[in-house]
Amino acid sequence: MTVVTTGSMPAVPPFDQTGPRLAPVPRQAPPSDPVSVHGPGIPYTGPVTVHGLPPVPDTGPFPVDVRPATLDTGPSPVHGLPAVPDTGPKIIEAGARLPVPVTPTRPQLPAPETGPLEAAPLTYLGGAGRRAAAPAFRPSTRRRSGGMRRRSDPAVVSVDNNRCHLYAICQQEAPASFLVARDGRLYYDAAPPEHQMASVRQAARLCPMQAIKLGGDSTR
Amino acid sequence: MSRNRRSPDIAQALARAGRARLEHRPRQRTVVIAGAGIAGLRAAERLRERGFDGAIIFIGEEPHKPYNRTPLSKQLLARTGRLADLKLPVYRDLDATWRLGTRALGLDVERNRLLLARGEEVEYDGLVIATGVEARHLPGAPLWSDHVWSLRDMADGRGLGRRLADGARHIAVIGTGFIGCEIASSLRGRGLDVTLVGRGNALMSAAVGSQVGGLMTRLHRRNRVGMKLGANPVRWATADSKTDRPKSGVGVSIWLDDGSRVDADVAVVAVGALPAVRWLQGSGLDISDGVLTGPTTHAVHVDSGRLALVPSIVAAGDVARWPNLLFDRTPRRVEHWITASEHGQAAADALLVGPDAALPFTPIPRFWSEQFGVRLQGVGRPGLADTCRLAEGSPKDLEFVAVYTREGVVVGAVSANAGVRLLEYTDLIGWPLDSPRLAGPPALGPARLAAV
Repeated sequence: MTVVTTGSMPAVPPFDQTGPRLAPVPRQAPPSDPVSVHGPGIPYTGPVTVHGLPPVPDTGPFPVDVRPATLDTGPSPVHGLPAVPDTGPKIIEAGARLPVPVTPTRPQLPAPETGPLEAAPLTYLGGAGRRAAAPAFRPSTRRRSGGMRRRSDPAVVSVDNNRCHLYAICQQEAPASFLVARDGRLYYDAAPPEHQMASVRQAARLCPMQAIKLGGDSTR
Repeated sequence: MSRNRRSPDIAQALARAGRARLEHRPRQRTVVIAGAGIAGLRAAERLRERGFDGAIIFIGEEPHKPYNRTPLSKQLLARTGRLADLKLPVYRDLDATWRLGTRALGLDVERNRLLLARGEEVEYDGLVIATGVEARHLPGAPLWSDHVWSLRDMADGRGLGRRLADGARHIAVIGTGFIGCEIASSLRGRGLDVTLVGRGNALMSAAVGSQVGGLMTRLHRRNRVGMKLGANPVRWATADSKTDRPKSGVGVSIWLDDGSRVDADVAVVAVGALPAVRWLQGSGLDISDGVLTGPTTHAVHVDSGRLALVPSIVAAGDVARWPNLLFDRTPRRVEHWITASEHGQAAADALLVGPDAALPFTPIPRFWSEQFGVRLQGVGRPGLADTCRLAEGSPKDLEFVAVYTREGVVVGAVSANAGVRLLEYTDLIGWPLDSPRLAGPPALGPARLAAV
């Protein structure tokens, strides 16, 4: 068998020579050293770590907000009723057959070391002589050493003591964050957790006296 | 071939895709809120909270953005509050268009248009009717006079406040509802003489019953509020009238149908309110005593006797008449501030999800009033009750809770100076009072609601 050649095959050019030649993109010289990126004279020091923020000071327990028990009814010349005095818990005599719930259905004050509410009565009574002199300012050592989350968020909820008339609508709307206790005072969480903010906002909307103010990032 | 030019076919394809995207982009939706009050404001806020990104247009008759009306008869009249206290908090960027000082004149349900003055039409995809109520006019009362006022909005409050600051000493208050009694309390707190004129035998008896009303009547008497109960005004004379003037030195004289006469410097008419629905006449909506809506706050359209829910129209606030399935299926209006807020929010939700998926709006109405330092607070509908019973406390000291039942089922509770203890009774509403709570299904509780 002979190999018949019908002419000389054109030499197949190498692949990179077919088609229009693309002009080589002038390749920029890569920065030879990091200094050239940042301009001359500024040595590249790597990612910047900000050291300017001051350490968060230990502010101790939560801001405490209480209101006096007596209603400030103002200087009313015709005010015929005495202001409600703070007589402490009262014994309520049920006047009817209405079943008064035996077990309290409302959330009670949390255990003393679980939240910011612990300091409220202590601070309020500090120096009032109602109880054995308890220090109003007593950072909890358990909270610091234990696994309890230390809540150091800034206070976003504030209640105007002069406006609040204890209608307890806020407790209906946000029972986890507001409590009108039987002693006739409002206790509230000044920095509620994020998942409570919706109900706290609703409480602020529906407050009859518009006494609840939300500040900071409450609109999130 | 230049490096910067696309090939023409790809450029055409890109243009085609862009045009298609523009054409098929959903049109921006528009929600028009008729009435810039608390219900409309809360509806807009809830729309934004739910992620509605279309346009919101407020059509408000007053020249103000929504403000808090409740201090008008309380803190502002008593001069313990300031005008800045009327501000309402909003926790969302509403990004709304405010057409204030604009009165809605009509509604075209078929074409989804709201008709304004000068032939202007506003097209909507959803409409929230929240025009509220306007003060009821007492027949014969010369409200044009400078000596006779009603108290509904900020203009009334400021005008009345100016008039009182001019040296009025004696004020006659016509009407013994909540507003009338609060006005009396606020003015007595300023040391002015007040005479209350009402046709009932006890104050606020329509709202809280005659027993609690009687207690409040005693409280007002003890604070030296003059009372003319069971009497109606029949003739008026004002000092600035051309024809019918009282004797000199008296601003306004009111003759009552029991033959007596009340002379005062200023009279305040507070005889309730009527829903502002005149602009809806001829629209096809049922507007007898407010805009009739279904349980989900969707408006009811009447077409030749056939009732149909309109998916694009909801009504909220004092203007809406809807069946609160917590009590019964009778549509009623509720004129409470807290309920108006919740109503606006529920209406916004109902507008977004439609009448089929929306939940019925079943709030427990809550109201409050403060008179002479007594905090009167109520839940439910005490006005529906046939029986009022003292639950706890002492009525004599005005520190009590009263429970209202209708056919044995609790429909409401009212407390005085005992706000926290009222909360327990809120849970009783809809349950029979006499049987133990866990013995059987409630008369109108959640189980019954699911059946409805």
